[in-house]
Amino acid sequence: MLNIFLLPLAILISYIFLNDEIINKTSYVITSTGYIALVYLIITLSLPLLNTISLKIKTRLFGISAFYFSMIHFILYVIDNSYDLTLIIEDALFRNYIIVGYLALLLLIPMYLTSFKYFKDKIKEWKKLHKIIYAVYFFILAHIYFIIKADYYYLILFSSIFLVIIIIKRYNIYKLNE
Amino acid sequence: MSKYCLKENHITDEKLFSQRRAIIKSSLAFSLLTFSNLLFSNDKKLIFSKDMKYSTNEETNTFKQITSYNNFYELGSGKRDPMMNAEKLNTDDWTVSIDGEVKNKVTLNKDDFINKFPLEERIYRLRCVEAWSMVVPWIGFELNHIIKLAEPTYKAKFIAFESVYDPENLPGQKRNILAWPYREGLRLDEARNPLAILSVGLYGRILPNQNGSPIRLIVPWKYGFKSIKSITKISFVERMPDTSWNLEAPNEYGFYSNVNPYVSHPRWSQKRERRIGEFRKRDTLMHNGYAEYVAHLYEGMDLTKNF
Repeated sequence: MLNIFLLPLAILISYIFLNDEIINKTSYVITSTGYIALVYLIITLSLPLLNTISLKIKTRLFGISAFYFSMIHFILYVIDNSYDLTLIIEDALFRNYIIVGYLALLLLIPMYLTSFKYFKDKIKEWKKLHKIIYAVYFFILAHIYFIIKADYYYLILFSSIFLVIIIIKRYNIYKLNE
Repeated sequence: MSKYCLKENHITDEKLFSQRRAIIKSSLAFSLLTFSNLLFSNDKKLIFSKDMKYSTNEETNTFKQITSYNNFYELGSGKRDPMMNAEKLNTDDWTVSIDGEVKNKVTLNKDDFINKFPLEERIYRLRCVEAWSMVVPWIGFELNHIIKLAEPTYKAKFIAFESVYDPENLPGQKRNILAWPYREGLRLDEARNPLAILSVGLYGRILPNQNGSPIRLIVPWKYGFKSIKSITKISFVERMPDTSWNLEAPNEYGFYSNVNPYVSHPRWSQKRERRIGEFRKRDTLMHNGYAEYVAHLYEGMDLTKNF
């Protein structure tokens, strides 16, 4: 946990405070925590692929860290709106990028909970449940799509990664025995 | 107040201090000043008056904030890209053609804009459609001067502006992010409003490339993207001209694009904005606080339809 979550978080915070070149710091920290969460999600999805080749890294901590970064991303958004409930509710009802953001965040919660032994014992089918990670990824792509003004470069990049992962898993290219 | 904001007089002092040797030299060589300015026009200090009527007395954003947080897609779509790629915009031999429904078709070069018109400092709020804002001390002259020079005929109802097109050198134009060249437009009565200026500088000096050198429009009551940068063509036309963001997403960016907290962007709210350098967002003002000068232009218009 220390290496995977707290260290990157500490680096991010110190980078933002120390770097005078970042002009809009609030916007920067909100955007970067969102992208870090997405990268962690990609790592969570990809590690089982790599593990079949040679590596043996626990994916669980990356999944949990993805959840924590998403929560920070969300909490910063709430703070940025001065905890103003009317603004936050208006966003939740009318802004597509916020709606799909909530969907992704909510779907992460059952996966987060069933990553602990207590819930794993209660819900035997937890591995099947974790397939909702694909839905989460989809809603994150939608989240990015709905906020882009004109340049779709990063959306295309992250969509391509998603497609590659799906194709590899669907056609069982690495002979996974999940 | 945040430490990222400084009073304008602080900035000027610091700049004067850092250029103290240059100032002494130039005063010694006063007789050569105009000649050397022609040679080193990028270092030129502009001569201008200070406007009191339209300028805000709010704290101005720092030179660094204004020059390293920009939307100028020709130089890249990230906020720092325009500064990083600034040298890729070549402003040598720059000309602006003024044509269309006018009596006097003229072509001006970039020195004409500095020398032919009465420059003044206008400290304006700038509100980006992305819900952030700055206060910028522009140097420029009223667009009215160009209109007087061109003498539009009775047919002219709009002004169409066109920006630089150079896909070989401009990284953003290597991809079809927007309909290049960037285009903008104003209704002629909007263009005649004394708030509308063409800017050639900021903080007393020539515009840095990332801010739209050598000449750009400033229409402070409209979202920032209306204030087209690096203009190459000004055409007086009969019909409402195409504008780049309107072509990109017609339901999101209208021709008028006046700052209006009551009409949200279809995808986000326009009620509030972050002034760069401040932590808490502030309320966005109707017409960006310039309603007393411009509201009459839109009387009787449904602003939810004419957004």
